[in-house]
Amino acid sequence: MRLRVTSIFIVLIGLMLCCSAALAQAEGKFKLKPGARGKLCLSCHSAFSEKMNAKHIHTPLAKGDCSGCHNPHASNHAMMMDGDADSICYKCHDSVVPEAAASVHQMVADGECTACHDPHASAYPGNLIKGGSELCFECHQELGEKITSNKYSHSPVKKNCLRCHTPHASEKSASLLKKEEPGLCLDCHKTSSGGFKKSHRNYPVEQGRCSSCHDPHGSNSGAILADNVHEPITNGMCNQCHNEPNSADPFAVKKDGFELCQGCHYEMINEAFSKNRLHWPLVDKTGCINCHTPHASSEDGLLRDSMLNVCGKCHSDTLARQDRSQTKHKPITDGECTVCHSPHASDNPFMQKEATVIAICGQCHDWQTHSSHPIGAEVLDPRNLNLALDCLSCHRTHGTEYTKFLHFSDIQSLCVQCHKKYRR
Amino acid sequence: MHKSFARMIVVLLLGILFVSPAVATKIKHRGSVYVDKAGSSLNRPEGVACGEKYFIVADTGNNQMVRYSMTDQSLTPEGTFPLPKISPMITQISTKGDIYILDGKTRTIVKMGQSGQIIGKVEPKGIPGSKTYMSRSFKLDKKGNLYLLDIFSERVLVLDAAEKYVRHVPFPEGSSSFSDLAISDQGSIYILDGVAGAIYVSNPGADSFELLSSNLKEHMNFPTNLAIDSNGTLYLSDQYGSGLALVGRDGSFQGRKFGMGWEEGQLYYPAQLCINKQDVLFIADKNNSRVQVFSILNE
Repeated sequence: MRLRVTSIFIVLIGLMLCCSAALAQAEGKFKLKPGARGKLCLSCHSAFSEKMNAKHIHTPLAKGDCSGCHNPHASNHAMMMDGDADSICYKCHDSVVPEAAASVHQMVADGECTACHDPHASAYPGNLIKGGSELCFECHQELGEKITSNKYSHSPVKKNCLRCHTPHASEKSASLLKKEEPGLCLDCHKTSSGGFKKSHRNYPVEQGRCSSCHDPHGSNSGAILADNVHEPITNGMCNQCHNEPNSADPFAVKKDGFELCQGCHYEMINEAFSKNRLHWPLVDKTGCINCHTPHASSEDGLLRDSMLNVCGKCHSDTLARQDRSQTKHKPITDGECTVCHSPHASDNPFMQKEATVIAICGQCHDWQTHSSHPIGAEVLDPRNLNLALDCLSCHRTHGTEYTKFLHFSDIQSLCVQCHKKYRR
Repeated sequence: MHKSFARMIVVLLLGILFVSPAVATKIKHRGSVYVDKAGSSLNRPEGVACGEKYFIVADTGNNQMVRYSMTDQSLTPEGTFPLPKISPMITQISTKGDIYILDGKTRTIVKMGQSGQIIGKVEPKGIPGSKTYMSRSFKLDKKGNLYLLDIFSERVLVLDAAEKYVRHVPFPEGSSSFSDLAISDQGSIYILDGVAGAIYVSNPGADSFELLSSNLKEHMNFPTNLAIDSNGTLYLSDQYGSGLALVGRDGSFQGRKFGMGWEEGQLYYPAQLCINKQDVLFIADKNNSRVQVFSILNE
């Protein structure tokens, strides 16, 4: 008897839950009148009906579920969105970024889905704003221009970026690549042919990283080698640095660090070694290739990356200071660290190219040589008589949180550091 | 009831006593040196080594070493030793009183007698593996052993007082931007990766390094030099941040001291640090062209 009562009770509760869920479904979040969804919105937003003729329509819109994304009453977000841009798309598209993805498209990370997608309708699949690579080049403009103007092109790049890259996030690969190198390349390039082996001097390059020599986006060098090629590569003399191709460890280098490079670049290294101070990475185990790539690079001087990124790899604080600074120092903005610093060695502090700060700054700021606050070796700094006044007495070249790289928030605060009688 | 409550309070107080830091470090300015024996200004000194009653400054910009005596009341220049062919960067005093100097130009360690005469250079004997070594920094311990931070072969080389190879400890994998090391009285070796903002330790007898402290970049900009006090606290000179950072022997960040500036008690691109047995702290205040001396008060 007791069991029967309990069973009836459970069944009744179940029925009530089902009914209430069905009722909620029917009325929706905003309890719209029957037939009011979508059509009701379009009765005012009549211009919007054109969107409905597009080839690809976003599913909620196609279902007339405008309130899936918009709040018809009030919102804290533009376009009466029912949440911030970061979260609203993820309500449905929550699998776009895999957990612990190796790389994520900046736009996706920033929640800028509408930078690529039209949230309502579009002529292109995936509701993309534009088709093919044209969309990518809206942001990656420089790369787009390079791809267009390259003498030697990589055909998949010309066709579509998505042949190699995934647009949202890559689970395992950097740079949004669909697969890691060389696997990605080997999907198209067969390595067993005699021609392939011959052109790679019989080195088992299929085990290596293709982009250490080739520019996958195309280049002005044959075989889409990056624009600047290290001479031994040009001459097919891989064994100048590496073991023989048929050896047990063909990619191992014959010497470590700078000792390998010294064989050819002895003049540069000897000159560096004659200076009072070295840039220490030059003489660590990695040596020259801390900053340079040994094969080919699209950057001048075979740099691994743009100068700003190469230097910033270790000196991130310097770049962060410039970022925070209200006034930007042009050589840093331009990524030209070597305007002031010597990258290998120097006789001067901070690897400066010139012996004095005034001489360095004077390279660009020539006004100070004829008209400025007294500076120079004879003008002592009242704050510390061991120091002479120079540009850095008032400015910090990589920037401060104040304007004009000043050490203090305003001119008065700066000047009274020395001119104490004017202190308020 | 009252008894158990009182017991709880006692346990709580004892717990607080054991859990809370045993010491709070205060640093008091004692004085600064600005000139050599001839009264000439120091010029961007990068190195300082300390004894109990004297200290040595690597006056880098003037290519010279300067010796100072130290009493409770005064810091007095005693001797200036010009080294026109050397760019002195880091310095140490041996148990015998000889002065060891890392020469930036040749990247060798030059040895100088107490009266300023050059008596040779460090020539390690019996190093295994690569014969090439590149000392980015070095330290001497109280037994006269020499520890070379060999960035070329990625190891700390330990040599005895006769410069014979004793052992080496390889750098930890995946980290290579080491700029300085410190040796505790117990024989632990600490190495500083200024780029990553990490400190590694190799405890006495260990043949490898383990991570002691990471994420230090949250608290400092570009630490380059390392020293250790009698309490085991590590002192880092934050060159680019123009300050000092303290790290406990458990690797915990203990705070920053000083700020950037020109007045005494302020720093401007500090370089080498030295702490003597009395916990007197010496800082080569490079861009202020002086050495500042402080007392560490562990309270």
